[in-house]
Amino acid sequence: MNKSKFPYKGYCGKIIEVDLTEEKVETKDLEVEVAEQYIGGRGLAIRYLIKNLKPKIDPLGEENILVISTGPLTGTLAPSSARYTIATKSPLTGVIGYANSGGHFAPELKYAGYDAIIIKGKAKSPKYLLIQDEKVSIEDASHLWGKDTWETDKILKSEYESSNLQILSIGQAGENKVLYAAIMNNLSRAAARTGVGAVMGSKNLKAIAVSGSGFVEVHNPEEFIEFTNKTLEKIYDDPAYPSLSDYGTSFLVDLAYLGGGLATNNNQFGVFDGYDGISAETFYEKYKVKSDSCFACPIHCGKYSKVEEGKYAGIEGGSPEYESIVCLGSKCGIGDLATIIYANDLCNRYGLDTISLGDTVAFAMEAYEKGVLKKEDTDGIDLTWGNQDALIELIHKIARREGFGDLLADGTKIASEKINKGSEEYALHVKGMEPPAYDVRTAKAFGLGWATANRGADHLSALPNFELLGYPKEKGVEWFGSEKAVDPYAWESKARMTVWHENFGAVVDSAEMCKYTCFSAYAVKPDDMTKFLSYATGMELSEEKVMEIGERIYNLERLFNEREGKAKDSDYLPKRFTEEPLPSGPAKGQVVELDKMLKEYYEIRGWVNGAPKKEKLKELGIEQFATKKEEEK
Amino acid sequence: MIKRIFADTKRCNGCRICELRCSFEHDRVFGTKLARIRIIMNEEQGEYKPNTCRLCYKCIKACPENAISKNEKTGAIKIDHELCTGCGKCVEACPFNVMFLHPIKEKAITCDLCEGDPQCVKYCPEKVLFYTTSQEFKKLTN
Repeated sequence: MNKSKFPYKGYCGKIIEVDLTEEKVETKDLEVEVAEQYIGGRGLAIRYLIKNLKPKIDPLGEENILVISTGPLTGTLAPSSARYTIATKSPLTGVIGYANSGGHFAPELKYAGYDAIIIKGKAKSPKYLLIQDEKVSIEDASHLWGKDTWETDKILKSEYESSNLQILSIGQAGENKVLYAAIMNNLSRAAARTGVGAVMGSKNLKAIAVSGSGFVEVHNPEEFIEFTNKTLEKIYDDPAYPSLSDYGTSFLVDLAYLGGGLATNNNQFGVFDGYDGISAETFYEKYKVKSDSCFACPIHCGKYSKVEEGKYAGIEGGSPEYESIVCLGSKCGIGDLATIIYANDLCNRYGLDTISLGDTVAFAMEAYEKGVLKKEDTDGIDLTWGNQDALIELIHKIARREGFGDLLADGTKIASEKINKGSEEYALHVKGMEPPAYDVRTAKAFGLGWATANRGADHLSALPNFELLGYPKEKGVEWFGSEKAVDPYAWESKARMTVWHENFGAVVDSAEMCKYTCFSAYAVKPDDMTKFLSYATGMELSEEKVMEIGERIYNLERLFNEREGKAKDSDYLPKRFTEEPLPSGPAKGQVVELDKMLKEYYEIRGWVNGAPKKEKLKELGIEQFATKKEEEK
Repeated sequence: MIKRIFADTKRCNGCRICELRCSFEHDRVFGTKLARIRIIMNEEQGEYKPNTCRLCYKCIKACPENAISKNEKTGAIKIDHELCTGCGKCVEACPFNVMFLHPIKEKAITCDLCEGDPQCVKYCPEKVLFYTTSQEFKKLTN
């Protein structure tokens, strides 16, 4: 057991540093200042990367670094706190990349005695990292290379049968450096976005397997457990709890449908003819088998599903989530959940981000519709909207980078630049990353949040669910100073709402709690998070201090982007969302009023055109990280 | 009739909150390897089986130190850690793999039914666990 003398509880106080080039493993102390100023998780990751990564390096080169980090709540009973962040310089966007996942990996790492793992360098041949309490070693993975994530999980578990390993791994997509390759754990949990899997593949690192026999201790166990119980009651009492708990995130398909924002045919429409085939009810009645929870989660939105009949009979596994249902489904004009479940299963095994993958296929389908792509370009695949077989075939081709799949494996932006012929117009991305499921013309804070997210089009950076939940107007006034805050079609007050969610969201990702606990039920607000963190760690914290940490993290990520020369003019939305009104349905005529919101947003942030002002950096105590930028000039 | 812990395994979602409640109740810390109830995870099939003491008492006979006895009140296994040497004979003898060695204390641990108020049952979010008799459990799940 690795019990360190770290001054705060909740942490292990140790991190693992692996140099794959030198085949060297070291255990280092966690810096106290990092815990105090950045909490852990996503905050720890950006702090490490900005300090240790040179600007302008090749994201798929030896110099890039992967940070895998947990939070001080991870491994405890704090609701849905078993998450972890994987951060790196993204090969998809060239700016800060990070992805977050649940399952059972993160608590196991804590029980082994570590808060984080840093991966540097590049192995000469395929390797995996094995962590068994204080024993950490780099092992040969040549027998695993070429295997999918499910096979990898199975083989490693059989090799260490008695040790209850938790494993994260890449599939063939990561090995082939598909720019939106995911890192998977527990078969269907994905650290999906920004191509973290491609970076792992570029390092010849196939998997990380961990088992731990230790524990996480909290500073004040009695207050901690009492507050946990109180919070659980809030979660169970929330009106949205049954939806998430029974239907999982598929209930959002219905919410999007009702608001006229069910993204269809590469966001050309917000109304989908095939809705019945992908509705929450259809999922629940025909495909859901049971709930499939992350560690320590009372919500358990994850579902286990199975196809009983038809072409894909017998396919079973975790979820698909709302994002996957829409991106693999309606965005491609596909209204059949059996196909989506199969596509999702393939993505999980190959290790692919279902959002970027679905979007890239949808983009190609629009190019095909417009005659820009022809059968001779697509290896003979008919890319007509709704062609289910085309989606399945493309997943195989993309993961293997075969033929036409090789073009799509670089994502929408690069593909459109290569295809050209005006296809940039409907190549939907922000900062190079493809957008999530919700059509943001029907949810304006989400629209702003996509634009300003540091990692590119991202629903989770802000996740301003507040505007969607049908709250009374008074609550809008109370929280964000305007009745309009509860109207998803309104743009007023959304800048303030977005900044608040982004800052608190950075805290949530650093404590490594799930955003569904914090931004769905709002069962954990900043004052609650302050209590959780104080009781767990013993740190002297206040609500203001906690929110300042969130702001610090957000600004530091922005500095990372600025150092890459990619902050200025980077907070845009594709014209489809700002200039093309939704053509039909309940939200007919809606566009995102981005300019108006962005102006307010920058004022609140203390930024000029996407870059933090010096005073802001001073206020947050991170001005030292900006100097590098000036030296560069 | 003796009451013990039963699980409606079809509905268990594998959140492992039972394991954490158990470790907290006994050690005031959080660790699954300190838990006396453990979920056997089959993620490929989405099958999760909470596994804990069935009160078969094989461990009592197996203990060379007479450290293991029956709790008079609840019928649960009682282990005297003063007498336990951590030899692991009980672990070998347990047919259900629910006798463990505490990784820190290096003494045998198993479910003690929390003196009749099992915390795992109390806090299972899905109400999958029951502290009841086998007959009652059959009725409940039929």
